[in-house]
Formats: sequence, C-alpha cells, structure tokens
Amino acid sequence: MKKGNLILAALCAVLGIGIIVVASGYPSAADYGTGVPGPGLWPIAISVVLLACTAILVYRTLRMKPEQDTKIELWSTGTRRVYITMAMLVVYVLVLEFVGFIIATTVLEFILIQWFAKKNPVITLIISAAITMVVYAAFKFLLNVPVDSFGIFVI
Amino acid sequence: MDLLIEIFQTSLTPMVFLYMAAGVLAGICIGALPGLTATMGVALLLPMTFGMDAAQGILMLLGIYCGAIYGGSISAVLLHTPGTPASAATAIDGYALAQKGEAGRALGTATLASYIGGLVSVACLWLISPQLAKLALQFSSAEFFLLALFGLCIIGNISGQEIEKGLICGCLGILVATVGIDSVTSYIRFSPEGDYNFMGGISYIPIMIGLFAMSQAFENIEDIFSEEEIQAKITNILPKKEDLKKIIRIAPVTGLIGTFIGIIPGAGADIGSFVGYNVARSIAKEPEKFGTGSVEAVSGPEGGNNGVTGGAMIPMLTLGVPGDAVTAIMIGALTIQGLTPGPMLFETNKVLVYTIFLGMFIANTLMCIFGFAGIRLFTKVLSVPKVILIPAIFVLCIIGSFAMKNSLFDVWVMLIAGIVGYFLGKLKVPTSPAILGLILGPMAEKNFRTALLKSGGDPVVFFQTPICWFFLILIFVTLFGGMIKEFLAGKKKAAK
Amino acid sequence: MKKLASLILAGAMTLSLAACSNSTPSSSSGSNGGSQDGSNASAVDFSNTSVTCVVPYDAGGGTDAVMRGLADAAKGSFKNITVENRSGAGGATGMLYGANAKNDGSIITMITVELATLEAMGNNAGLTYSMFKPIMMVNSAASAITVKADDDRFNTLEDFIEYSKTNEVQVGNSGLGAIWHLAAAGLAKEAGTTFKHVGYDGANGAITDLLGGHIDAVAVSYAEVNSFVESGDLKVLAVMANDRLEAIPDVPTCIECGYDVVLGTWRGLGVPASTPDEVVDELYRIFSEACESDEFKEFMANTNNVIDIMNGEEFEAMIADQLALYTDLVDELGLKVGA
Repeated sequence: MKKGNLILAALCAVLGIGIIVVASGYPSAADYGTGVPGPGLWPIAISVVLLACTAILVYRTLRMKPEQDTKIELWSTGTRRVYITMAMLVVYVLVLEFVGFIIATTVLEFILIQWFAKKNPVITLIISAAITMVVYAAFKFLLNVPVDSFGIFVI
Repeated sequence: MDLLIEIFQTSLTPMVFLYMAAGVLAGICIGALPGLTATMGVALLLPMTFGMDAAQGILMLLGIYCGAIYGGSISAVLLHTPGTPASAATAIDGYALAQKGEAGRALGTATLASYIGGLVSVACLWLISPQLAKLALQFSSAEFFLLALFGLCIIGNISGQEIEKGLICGCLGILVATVGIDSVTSYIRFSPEGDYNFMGGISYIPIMIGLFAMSQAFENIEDIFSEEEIQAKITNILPKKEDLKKIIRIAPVTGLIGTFIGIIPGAGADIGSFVGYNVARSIAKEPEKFGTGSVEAVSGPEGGNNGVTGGAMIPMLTLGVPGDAVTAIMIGALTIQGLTPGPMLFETNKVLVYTIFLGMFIANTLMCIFGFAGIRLFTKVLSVPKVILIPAIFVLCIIGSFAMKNSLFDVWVMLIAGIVGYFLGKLKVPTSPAILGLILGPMAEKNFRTALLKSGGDPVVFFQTPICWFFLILIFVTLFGGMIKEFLAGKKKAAK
Repeated sequence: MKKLASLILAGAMTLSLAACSNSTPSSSSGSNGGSQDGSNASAVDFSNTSVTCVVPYDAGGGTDAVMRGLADAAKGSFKNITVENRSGAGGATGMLYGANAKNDGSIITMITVELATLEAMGNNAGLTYSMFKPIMMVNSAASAITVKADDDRFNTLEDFIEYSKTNEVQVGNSGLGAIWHLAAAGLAKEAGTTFKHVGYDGANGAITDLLGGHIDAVAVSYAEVNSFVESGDLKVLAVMANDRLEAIPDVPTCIECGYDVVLGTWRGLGVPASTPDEVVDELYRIFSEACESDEFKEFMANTNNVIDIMNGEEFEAMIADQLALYTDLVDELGLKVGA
C-alpha cells in the first residue's frame, strides 16, 4: 500500500505540475479584456488542489504505521489473468474496426468463456454466438444504434 | 371533480395506460443498460410519438423518463454498473449490499425509495408548481457556480476513510473535463492539434462505465475460478419493518430536495442523487455504516433522483423552460403536437396539464409495481455463472459507450478508464468522486467565469442574492459541519 | 459547367476574404433551381437502398427535429432511412464523419451554418465546406433581437442601439463563436456600437437568463423564443432577415431600421464532395418532393421552422459567401485569441 500510494502521489505530482506549466502558457484575462479569467485559471487552480492533496497523501503514507500497511498483490496468478484480459480487450477494440462487430465479438466471447469455464467448445460457441446476437439485435433493431458501422466486413 | 371526470373520459383511456406501461417498461430496460441514459431513451423513442395525440405521446415519454431513472439502479445494485449517471451514488452502497447476498433487499429499498421520491415530486408539481417555478428564474450564473461548488464539497462525504484520495480522484475528474474547447473563450485546451475527438471534450458516460463496470469486471476475473457464487436471498423483496422505517425517514426528504434540484434549469437527476446521498448521510441514524452496505444510503440517492423527475417538469410546464435535458426534449415533443408549454398551457389546455399531473402519478405507480414484480427476475442475473456474465459485461460496456455518440473514441476512453479504475481500486481510491468532478467541474468553471463576465470582473456578484448566501452557508456546513459537531460534543463532555 | 463555375467562384471567394465584408446571404430564393429533367434521375434508384442521415447535434434539438421530420416525409423513397446523431466539437465531429463517408449517397449529412462559423473561428479541425457537395438547403432562421416585454428602455431597435452606445447591454447567445454570437456582433458592427456578449451552452440557457432578468437581450432565432413572445413575456425588436417573418408581421427587419444585416442559421443536406452528380440529382429530387409534402409543411409549421429551399449550386455559393463574411467578422472582433 505504501509503495502504491507513493507511486500514485508521484504520478499526480507530475500531472499537476505538467498542467500548471502547459496552462500558464494559455492566454490570460488581459488578452480578452472582459474581466473574465482566461482558460488557464481553472485547470491551474484545480492542479494546485491536486498537489495539496498529493502532499497530504505523501505525509500520511510516510507516517503510516507498519501494521496498517496492507500488501497489494500486483503479480499473482489472478492479476496476471486480468492483464491478459486487458490486452485481449485492447486487441478486440483495435480489430473491431476491420472485422466488424459480429465476428470480433463472437471470437472474443468464445476465447474468454472457454478460458474461464473450460466447457465443451461447441457449447461455448453456442453461448458466445447467442450473447453476440442478443446484444447486436437489441442495439441495432430496438435502439437504432448503428452497430454495423464498426467495420467494413459487417455481415 | 368535473375536471377529473373529464380527464378520465377524454385523455386517460385504457390505450393511454397501455402506452404508459410500455414506456415504463422500455424506460427500465434502457436505464438498466450501461451507456443508455434517460435522455437518450426519450430522444430515441420521440419519433414514435409523432403519430399519437398529445396526451398519449407525452405520457409515454414520461413513463420512459421515470422508468429509466429507476432502471439505472438495478444494474448499479446487481453489477456495480450504474445504468445512468443518476445511479452512480446508488452503486456505492447498493452493490455492497448485493455482495452480502442481500440484492433483493437493496432492490426493494431502491424501488420503494424511488416511488416515494417520485410521489413527493408529483405532489409538489400538482400543488405548488406556479409558486416554485419562479424560483427557477432566480438562478443565474453566480447561483449555478455556488450550486456546483456545493456539489463538489460532497466529494468529502463520499470518499470514505481517506478523504485525500477521494479529493485526488475528484480533481482528476475535473481536470479530464477541461480537455477540449473552452466554452467561455473557445480556446482549445490540452488537445492534440486538429484532433476533433479531443476538441469536443471527453464525455463522462464512457468514463463512468469504465470506472464502475469495467474495473469491477476486471476485479472479478482475479478469482474467476473460485466456485463460490453469491447466493442472492430473494425471500425478502418487500422491505422489512425496520428497513421500512429507515426508508420512510429518508426518502421523502431527499425526494423533496431532488424536486428542488429538478426545478433548477440545467441541474438533473445525476446531481440530485449525489445530493440525496449526502443529505441521507447527515440525517441517517447510522451514518457510520455508509459505504458498507446501508439501507439508508440506498434510499437517499434513489429518493433524490426520482424526485428530480417531477421537479424538472415544473418549470417546463409552467414557464416553458426545461428543468433538465429530458424535459427539453419533451418541450420539443409538445411543440411538434402544436402545443406550447408555458403559462398559456394552463389556461388553454387545462385538461392536458392535469392529465400530465395524474399521468406522472400513474407512471410512478407503474414503475413501483413493475419494480417489485421484476425483482425476482432481475436478481436472476446474479445466478448466471460469472464465467459467462463477465465476458458479456465486457461487450455491454463496449457497445454501451459506443452507443452514446456512435464513436469508437468513446470506447477507448471507456477502456482506459476501466484499466485506470482497476489500479485505483487496488489503492483503495474511491472512484465516484471522479464522476462528480466530471459532471460538476465544467458547470462550476463555466458559471464562475460567466458570472464574472457579466459583472465586469467584480467578485461581489457571488454574494449578492439570498440564494447565493443560502449556498454559501450550505457549503460552510458541509465542509465544517463535522468539525463543529465534534467541537460541540467535546465541549459538552468537558462541561460534564 | 455551371457547377464548375460556381466552384471556382467559391474558391476565389475564400481566397479573397477581405474583399466581401458587405455581402449578405441570399436566404429567400424559394425557386427550385430547375436543374432536373427526370430523364437522368431514373439512372439512380434509391428504392432498394438504406440511407443514413447524420445529424451533427444531439437528439432532441432543433437540427435533429428538422432532420427527423424530413426523413419521415422522405421515407417512401428509400428501403430504409435512419437518423443518426454524432454530436461533439460544436458539430465538427458529425460533419467530419459525414464528409469522409462513402460517396454513394447512402450517408447524407445535415450541414448547418457551423460549417462556415467553425472554420471562421479556427475550431474546424480540418473541416471545410468544399469537403461536401451540397444537395439543397432546407430551412433557415434569422436572428431575432429579443428583450423582456416589460423592459421600457427598449421599444424599438433604435432605442436599443442608442442605449447600447452609452450604456452596457448584455446580449445572450448560444455559445462563443456560435452563429447567434456572430449575428449580434454583426449588428453591433453595422450600427457602430458594442454589446457585451454572454455565451451559454445552447440558446435555452440564454433565454432562461433573459426571462429571469439577468441579461438585457438575446439574439437567437424566433422559433426559440416564439412561445415566450406569444405568452407576453418577451418581445422581438427586429429580425435580421430579408423580409418580415410571417409569424410576426409587425416586427421590422434590421434593413428597414437602417442596418444592413441579414444573419442567421441555415440547415441543409450534403454528401461527400466526390459523390457522382447523378446521385446528388436523384437525392435532390427525392428531398425536394419531401419538402413539398403537406406532412412536412405541417411539421415545420408546428415547430416554428421556416422552410427555405435552395438548390445545390446556390447553396454552395451561399456557404462560400457566408464563410468569407464570418471570417471577416471574427477577425475584426478579435475573437480568435491566442490561436
């Protein structure tokens, strides 16, 4: 937890300082001559609050007693499974544009369910095709969402 | 009385009931699906009303509105996936209850609290709408800014133990919302040159789906092979006596507050539910249980968001000014019928106005009946094996975030929010403050600057009207109320 | 040939922006150009095609309503016609999508005045009107200078202008750089005065603030304030149209008051620039028929929208004209800060 908190704090600090640097380059109130604060003021103000909270987080983390510290497992069998799933979803969204919704989704569902459930592949295929078709039909016909325009091979 | 008879004879025919029932059912389904909001539901089904007469059309839309605001809580409770932003606050405690195997209890509470909230708002609509409507026009930029600021102060109360983590998350939400064209100066902030996706800004619905639903699904994958399934106890659908007491204490109050928020143009059910959560916490008997699965914490936001429905109708019917995005579409629906909402409507078309009042009551009742009747069915979702449910949730999240603007960019936003949300969850950072920041951040910024534009840069504008002072006091109480309470309690102890 | 000429003309106009600051849009042609003669129209048949109409704004808004009404009136000519909302970036998202769509006429985009104003403001993300081949203009709405009915300071446009020369008047609009902002600014420029422009997210916010007495006037379309004018809460001082509006025959135009400004929004249909002419012609035939239908006319009357037909060539020339006008206006007003 301690390490995690510090990493979060570091990321927030970088982000906050980065935003302040970028936003200070934006036109100021004087450029508009209307008495309105420029576009940079609000992001800078919020970044200052963010940095203040980050400072509090760092302070409280460093003062944390060892017995309050809980370990965060980031590289167990469980989390590795999550990372693989994340990667698969990224690939899925990338492929979606080219393969179309129906094929991509059926394949994704098949792989995931087969991996998790380890059932008979035929049953898995039926289930994944069913999920795909229900979602497709509900969104396309009932809700008029252009599911087809995902890809070229729209079948 | 004559009016009542006339209403039943002319406009509230069995056919209208049928349309309303269909609207409520469609609304519940649309609301329960992530990414499809009440606004979208009403807009999607608007063309269907072109062929109906005014009463049929508007009552069907009302049914969708009430149903969708309620339906969002079903998925919020069962899957930690708020179907609409109005249910984000319900997800906090509703899902915690479902995790304990009390999904039925949580849904029962949500249904009853929604009904009570709806009823309170209908009562206000019926009895005092002309008086309340004037309040809507009192709101200008300075008041909106303070309202948004007050909303942002709620972050402290939904953050749990480590408030700084909640605040960090809220700040991140506000910062994400600043991406794109600045609406006051039209300057383009934090976007790559010429990229219209970033220019248009990052909308909060895909982020909400990612932070709640996607990250939850990732978390469930960690132990997907463990066989233990949460057995939903669906024996007690109707709230028990002790729960009933809690709901009746909380829901009417938050319903009333929701009504007021609904009246304010531009403040909708999403804000109503968070304010409802906050109020419930301050009047609850057991505020320490908030966040761990408390019935009081579910009834607060549910009363609040359904209270907004009737509230938003008040300025729409009496002034012709929409109270939120949904009622803006309803104005369109009425004008297409050749009717003009506003003060004239009460005189020229009294029957229609009272039909709408009565219809709103009926829509809420139908929502309650369908809700209780459906709880057994809804909770069946939990008996779907996780190995199938989780992959299906992935697809729903992806298509839900695509559906809003038909844009693949939103799908990426959702996916990234989901991955970030997963790691934030590991660090025990609460994610609902981010939603609050995304909704209220732009509102606060824009109105802060517009108020200063109107006053020529003079900050006195924020202290001029009674409404401003009302919110200033509320903000003060929200921020320091706890401290004052402790201080007084400490004094008492010392005196003893 | 005529088309080519107008294209060249349009190109020339964009290049020489400064030259035509006084040009005004011709917004009341009414006649149907007559480039059709039925014989070549039969070459393209849409009765077996599904078409999608892209609306670059949210469902439920004014643009959306006009498109849905039109699609409903034209549905008999297609296998299927659906309306799709792709909102974002002030309309740029949807229009860019439509401009880069397939060029077989199956994706038709609602193009609006923002096609010109976004480019003028530099917020177009590469969107420009030459990416489209306009089919026709469908509807237009002039800016109406509207104040509170019980505001005794302003009874005529003249009062308003004179007052603004010595005092500060706050004029609400639907967003910075949006058409109603530019319309109000255009009037101020022509009258030699200045307004304080207050931007909102959409016309609704501005009207609500006017009703509450927080600002002095709004410069939005008559359709948007119609109900409040009828109920006696607001009054219109003048409209920036060529002719008086049918609904309010007593209200003068700005030209009558001595200010030569004709500004307002317009909506029309467009397809990608590379679409073959015969496809465009057939679409023109279908949609102009739909515009003539009683169903559509009634729909537009109920929603307070004015049907204003213009054929593709005239429409394209007008867009070019408008772009030049707005680019000028934006430059002169110094609206582009730091860009």
